[in-house]
Amino acid sequence: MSNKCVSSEQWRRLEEAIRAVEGKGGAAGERLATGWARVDRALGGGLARGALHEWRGEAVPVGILAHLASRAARAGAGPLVWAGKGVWPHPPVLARFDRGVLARSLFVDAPEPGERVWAADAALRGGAGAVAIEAEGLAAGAYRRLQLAAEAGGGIALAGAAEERGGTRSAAAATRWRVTPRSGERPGWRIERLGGTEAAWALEWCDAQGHLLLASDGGDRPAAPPVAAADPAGGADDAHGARGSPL
Amino acid sequence: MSASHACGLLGPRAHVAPAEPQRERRALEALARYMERLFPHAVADPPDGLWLEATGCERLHGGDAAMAGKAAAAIRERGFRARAALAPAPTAAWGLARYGEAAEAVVGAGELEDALAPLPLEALGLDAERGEGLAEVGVHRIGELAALARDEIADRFGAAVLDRLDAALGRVAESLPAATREPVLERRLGFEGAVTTTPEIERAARSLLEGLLADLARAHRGARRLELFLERERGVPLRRRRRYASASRRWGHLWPLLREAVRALRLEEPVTGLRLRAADAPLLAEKQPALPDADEAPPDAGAGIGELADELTARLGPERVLVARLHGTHVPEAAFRLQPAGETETAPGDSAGPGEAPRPSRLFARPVPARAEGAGEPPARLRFGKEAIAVEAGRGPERITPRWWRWGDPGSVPAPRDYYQARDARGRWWWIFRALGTGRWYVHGRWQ
Repeated sequence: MSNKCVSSEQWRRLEEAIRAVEGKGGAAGERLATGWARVDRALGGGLARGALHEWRGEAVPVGILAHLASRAARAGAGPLVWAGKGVWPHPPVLARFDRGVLARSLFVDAPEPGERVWAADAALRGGAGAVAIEAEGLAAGAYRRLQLAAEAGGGIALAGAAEERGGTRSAAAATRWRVTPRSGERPGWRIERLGGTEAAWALEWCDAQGHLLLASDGGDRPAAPPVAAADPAGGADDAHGARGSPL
Repeated sequence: MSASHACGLLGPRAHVAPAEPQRERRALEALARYMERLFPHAVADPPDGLWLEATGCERLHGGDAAMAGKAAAAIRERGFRARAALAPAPTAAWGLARYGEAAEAVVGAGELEDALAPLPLEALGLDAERGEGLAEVGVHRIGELAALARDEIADRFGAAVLDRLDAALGRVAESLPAATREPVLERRLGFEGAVTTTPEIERAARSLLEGLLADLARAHRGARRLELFLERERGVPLRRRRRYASASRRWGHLWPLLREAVRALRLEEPVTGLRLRAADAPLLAEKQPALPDADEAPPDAGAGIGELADELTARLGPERVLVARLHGTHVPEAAFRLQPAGETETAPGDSAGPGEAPRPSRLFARPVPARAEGAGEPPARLRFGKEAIAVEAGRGPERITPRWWRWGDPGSVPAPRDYYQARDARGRWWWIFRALGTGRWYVHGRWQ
């Protein structure tokens, strides 16, 4: 290869080849590892890039969106956009997730759903690494538009919404998740994948590092942040035991 | 003379205006450009001078004296007062123009010593300390200095004095400073007949920008500010300015904002011509793709954010596209600030470490007052808005004391707060605090 010019397409193929060698799965280039080992295994390497993922909780699951967006930033993608005040994370906490995450974040104040979708669409097509959008009040067509924009730009679209409030559940999202608070010694949630192969995992907040950890994660992925196993009962977790984590 | 003194002397005739060194400097630079019509090389010498290279121009202007007169007249025509001196050495010309008798002096190579002799030492451009040292021994004029023995001057007053004297007398070769001028990146389009509708102006602006982008590419520059001038039959052109978060020469970056500016125009008079200028156009570094490194944030982490910010700002407005900056304090309200993305010159960096104290994933815009029921810290129940929190477990307190000097009025110093993390019966975690002054409880954030 000459050192003159390497096209982005060549870069992408090169990175994909490296990932394949590292054993992260064939199409790993198209997936964003969540850093939660068992979730990644169940998803075949992580959440699909270039796709929309919907996260609904009792309140907008800002912490999870921040975690996923910072994973996208870690993987070297473009800017991060937070469309709608409802998904804005607390900036000092966002900075804890990873160096440089905050420097790449744009906070968009768009109370009107049409403007919010426009901003998310423009950001995704403009090469944003991740776009979190407040899904409250979005029409069904908006999900489709976000999915298409994510496909076009290759970034990951994250729709966050509060469970009981407005917004339409849509089949346009590649994965749909339900988040419920989980009683524990520190803030934690149960995340549940809806539709298709339903499965659930437990997550735990780790203040000092600003990470969301899979409760009782064995810490078997070198790429994942330092893992604090919170629940010793989960130690015997097997590779396919997604349901096996204590909830 | 102070402003109040002047007002006292002049009464109502006094007009007081603040000094504007920036504008003066720009005017001086504009004057230097103007003088390039007469001389091959013209450089501004702030605060009040212009260097003009006149070597070999005298025949063009009809002799030395005529040339000096022409230069001074050209400046006077534009409403300034001017003194001109033509000398074989730049330092001599500098001193003669400022301290000489005649408003227009022409000194030949043989007359230099005589012409400079009566001038005060300031005409050499010496610093005040050296000038005073010389004045103490009774040397006030250049002629008196030149009469001293050379080695004596160097020994007693420093070699710098001798250097200045030699430069003024033309004993060493000196050259004028080089002009460091930004290229003018501007395109103009005149209309055949006046134009009154915005679509036509949009079309013209589009073709101007296409040309300007080619100019920028040739100059290896990018525009950080575009200025669009609408020329009219009468009066000064209307100006519309657009700033960008980062310098660029990409169509997709520059055009949307310019288009918005054109579409927002309300034309009251016909437009006869259009000019588009890249007003702030720094050199763009040509980037080489870096090897991706999975563990490190890439070095150009902020790249691309500027363009996206501009695109979003063009439609939503600057107050609604924000970036966050951290400040090293524990006071939650002061720990970060959201500001328009376009206002930062560089990508916002993490100026402070994020800390390790417990902080919720979402901070409310302002603390919400809550009604506490039951004793204890934290209390057994908190009610706020429609929520009722039955506190099951709590962690804390973390005492946060605002820095008193941040608050101007000593009467309004907020009390220290004791922050707790509280889990309610549904497993939700809240960030609550008690204001120590009033003992009242507030909810300030939530892990969600």
